[in-house]
Amino acid sequence: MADNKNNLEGFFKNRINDFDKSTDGWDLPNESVWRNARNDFPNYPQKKKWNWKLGALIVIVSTLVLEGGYIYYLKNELVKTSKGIEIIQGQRGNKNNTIAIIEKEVFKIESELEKRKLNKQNLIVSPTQKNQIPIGFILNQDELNKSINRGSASTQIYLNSKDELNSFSIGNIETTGLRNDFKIAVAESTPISFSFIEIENVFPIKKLDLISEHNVVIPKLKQKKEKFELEINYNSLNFETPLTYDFEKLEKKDFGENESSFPIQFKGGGLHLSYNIRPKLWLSVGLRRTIGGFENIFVDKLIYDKSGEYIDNEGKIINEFKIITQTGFSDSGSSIDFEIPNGTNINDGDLFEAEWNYSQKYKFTNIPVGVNYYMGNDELNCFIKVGLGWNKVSLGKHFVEARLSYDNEILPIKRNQESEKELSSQFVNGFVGAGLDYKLNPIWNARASFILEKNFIQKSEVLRSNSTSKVFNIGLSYRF
Amino acid sequence: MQSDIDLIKSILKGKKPAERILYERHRQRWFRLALRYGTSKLEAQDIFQEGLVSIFKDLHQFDSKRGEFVHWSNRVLVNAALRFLKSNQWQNTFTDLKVAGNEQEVSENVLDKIAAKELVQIIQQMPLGYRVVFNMHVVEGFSHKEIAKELEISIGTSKSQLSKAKKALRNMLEEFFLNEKD
Repeated sequence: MADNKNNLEGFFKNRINDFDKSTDGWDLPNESVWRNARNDFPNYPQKKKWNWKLGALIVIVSTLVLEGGYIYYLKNELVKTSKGIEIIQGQRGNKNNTIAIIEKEVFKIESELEKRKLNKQNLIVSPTQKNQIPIGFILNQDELNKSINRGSASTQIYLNSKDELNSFSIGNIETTGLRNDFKIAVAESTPISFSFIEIENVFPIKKLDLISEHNVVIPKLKQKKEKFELEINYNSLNFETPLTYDFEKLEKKDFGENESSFPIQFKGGGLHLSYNIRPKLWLSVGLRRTIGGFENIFVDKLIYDKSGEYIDNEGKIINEFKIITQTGFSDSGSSIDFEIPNGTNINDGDLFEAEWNYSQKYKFTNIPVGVNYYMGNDELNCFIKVGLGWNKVSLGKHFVEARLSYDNEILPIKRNQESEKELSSQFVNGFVGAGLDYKLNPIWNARASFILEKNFIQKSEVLRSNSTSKVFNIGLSYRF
Repeated sequence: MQSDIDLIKSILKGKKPAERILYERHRQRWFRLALRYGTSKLEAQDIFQEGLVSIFKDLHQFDSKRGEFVHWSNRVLVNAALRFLKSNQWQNTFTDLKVAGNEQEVSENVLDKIAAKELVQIIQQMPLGYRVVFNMHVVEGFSHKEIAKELEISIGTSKSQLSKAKKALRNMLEEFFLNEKD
């Protein structure tokens, strides 16, 4: 009894799911059901609901972080300003006090430098008027003592190394021969004293303005010049490619002769390395890797050709249908064998419906070489770029899926063999573009640009393209 | 050939052609399910259409980590079938009907000869309560506890409906073959 019970349940489950033996369409819905249901399908992609709680949390955390950072910055600035004022106050007092105060300040600065792991050699405090004894620590003190001649119009101070020669004239408060990476501020008062400080690291130039009443002179300095730049960016690339369909036995004979274009959007990332060859002019070489493609559905009627019929091993009538698609990048072919169900009588020349879904994905590599020219101020620049690029496009994922029917009867697909032509197109393009560059800090820049690329795709017997692609990119660059 | 998961991803990205491909791939299985819950092809089409809309509306809720698409879509269709039946024919569905005949065995000989199409026709002829419980338990694999919850009946009622459904089926199978011989 139990066996029979299990037997019955198992039998039902297996037999109901036995899909191979369906031949007369009893278990297939009418086409109208699909058409009706499709009208009620949602339109994807659906808009994502904004998560207000997460947004509020991000805003609060960001505010706290920014506020904390700003307070920390203000505290630092206050300390630095105080040091500047103290130095000047010291210089205003008597000689002994001046010396004492400046010594104290120098000690502070020295400590600060040590704390910041800066090179002590870049910190020099000049001798006082009276005895020409250097205040604070001076590297190669003996050498310095010998070199300084108070009152001379062309006193020179040397650093301890002759390789790092720096010179200036006390009388005119001018500097010459400064090393590019060595920035000096000179403060003069009565009694005259000079302090040379790495202003970028210890004394911001702006803060030295506070002591301008004491005849502070900031020598004209050569800015430290970064020679290299590494940029990482995100690219969005729109491309128009010719698209031509060539169907055998197509109802509309001229369809295949009409060449249309099809938009493809590529997205991906890139790297650029630039070298500063002249002021405002950079030579740049890069690598861009993007992926894109297209997918579409086409419906048309085909003319039935009985000569392609054959009988397969199971005794079913099979026919063959071929599709060839040409794009600016590749040829794609697909051969589809479909079954003529029992009882379906299609004659030579009858029209049957074909609906097929066609998809190709491409991998697009671009190596551009060009120059960028910058115009603007220290913070915000606009730039133009021109150059040439080498490109390689290769075929990635692809498929052709077809659905055939005759007189509302589905013609089952028995075999779908794709014959994608292996693709590795290489071509050259020329580009011209413009963008904006914003200096976030001395080494990091943010930029956005729009570029037009004219692609010179090699001609073949069938394909021809001189498409223009539009590239939008945003990125961050690091100068060193 | 794209997998179900790839097709669903394409649909959720807004690629309409993928909807048709997914439909073509599963429509026979889905429609057979609808046929088993209805009493005719016409009624099955109504159930199927409602289920189809539910599947595509809820597609973004499908989580491949929690199970296969086949099982998820079947479940959505069963729910749609129950909604349809509840709104149309649910009155007195689970009142006991007298089933003639004994617990007679059905010979394997008989079972071998019957095809899926006839089987579905036999199921369609069963009273609604039997049909629903039988389908849910035997074909879809619901437990009696799950059936009781879905149909808002007791577990005992679910078991008794199944037992009676099977008796009825045996009788109908025998009858079917007697008619075939004639």
